[in-house]
Amino acid sequence: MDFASILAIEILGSIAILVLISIGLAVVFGMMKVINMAHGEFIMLGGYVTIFGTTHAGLNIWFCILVLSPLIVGLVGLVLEWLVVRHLYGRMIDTMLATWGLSLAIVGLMTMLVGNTTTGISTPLPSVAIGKFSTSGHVFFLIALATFVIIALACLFKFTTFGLTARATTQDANMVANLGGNPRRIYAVTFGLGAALAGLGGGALAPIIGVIPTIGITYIAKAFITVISGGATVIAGNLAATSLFGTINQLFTYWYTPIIGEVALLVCAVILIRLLPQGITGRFFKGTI
Amino acid sequence: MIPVLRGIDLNLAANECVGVLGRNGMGKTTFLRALMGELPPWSGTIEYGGSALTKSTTQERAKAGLGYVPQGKHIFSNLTVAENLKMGCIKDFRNFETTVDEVLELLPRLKELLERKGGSLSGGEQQLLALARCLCGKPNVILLDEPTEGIQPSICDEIVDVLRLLKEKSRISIILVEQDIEFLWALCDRVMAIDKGVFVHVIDPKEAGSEEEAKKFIGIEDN
Repeated sequence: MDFASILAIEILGSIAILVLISIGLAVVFGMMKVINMAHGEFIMLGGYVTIFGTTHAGLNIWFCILVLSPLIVGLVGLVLEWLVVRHLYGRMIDTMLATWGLSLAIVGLMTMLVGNTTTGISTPLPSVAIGKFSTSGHVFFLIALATFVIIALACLFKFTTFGLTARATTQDANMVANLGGNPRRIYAVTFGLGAALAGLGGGALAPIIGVIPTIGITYIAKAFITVISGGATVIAGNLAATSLFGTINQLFTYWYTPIIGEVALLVCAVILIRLLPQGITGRFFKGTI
Repeated sequence: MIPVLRGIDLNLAANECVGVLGRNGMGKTTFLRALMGELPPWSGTIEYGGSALTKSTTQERAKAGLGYVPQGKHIFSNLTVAENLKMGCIKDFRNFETTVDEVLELLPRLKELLERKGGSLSGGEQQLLALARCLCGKPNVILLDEPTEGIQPSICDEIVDVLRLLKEKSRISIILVEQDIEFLWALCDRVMAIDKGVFVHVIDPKEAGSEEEAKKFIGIEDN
């Protein structure tokens, strides 16, 4: 029973980590059809904001994770959207190349500023014992945070005028302009929101994974696979893909090793895309957010 | 590059309905899209109420009072009818419920469909929704692109009734691109015949024999 509980928590934790690293990319891709190759670097920046805010500025770690990281990385996203991305809308390959260039620039800049070594902070929550097993208390925080992010995003897109306008813009940006809306502003805010979510994920993961300027590449690969496998529907697609991959990854990690867990995740993704080229929501959960 | 529209000159008075009639590919839709700012003109000017709109963006023109119902309806198929109507109020979401209620009084058929997804409606219902969504923006000028295309006659009659009512009550001006002569003649004060991007003739629908005259501009000629 204890083992089953701890395994269930670890699986939920694995799903939560996937949600936190991929939801920002899912928002930007799902709403704007832009694949932001700098997404991993936004997560990395979020991690550094939390670590430096805590260790150098002496700020409260929860404030750094929940407020400062998403705020600063969201602002960075808005600036980069204004400088680069907005000039390339409708040109998916060009956007991928431009954001890839941005990712390289951010990695280079951060390497110059902080060096190429892993930095970390200790987790703010103690470990939790369940019978003879124990797990990190931070996993519970990640599960709660991922749940909150999903519910908050669903409410944002379903119940607010911004969400309504964003969903309409996703379908027909020209028609939104014909009605008097400003699709460019919606795109800018959506890109900033995606960056802020990446920053939040980076800040939340920093205590358990640590940060190095090149860590973004490990995040972007998983996030990219999750988003493509989920399909065009932002929240339902992300939840479906993260649940599937998180469970497979964690089960194989328990049965074999973490590396086998990663391989199982990738094999599962390849099979899924082969069977469902439009992603999970291309076949199931149609018409959802 | 070849210009699609050449020497187009049109003054639209308040409360006036002007029809644009012509065969396929003559520049009717291009004319409306240029007015709406979707296609910037290479030369010439567009003025509305004494202000130049030539350099304005599409959303600025919509905010100035132009409303556009494009060919193919372009409704938001994944949004419900209620959400589509709310999107029509995007210029000012305050009091959108009142605005939507006013529009639904004009088009009561939509009341029963409010929770349906736009994509699940019939072609006629989608056309009504596209018109209703445009009216939610409270436009002073409506640009209508082939509203009868593929629509059953009863809905065409409904659209005519609504547009007539709007003309009578709120001094709305209309530019109506259409190939259905009966529909044009039911609404328009004058009809411009367009051929290869040029207004070649002005037809007064009140004149006897004007319908026969119009037919030659859409390739229907009685022998």
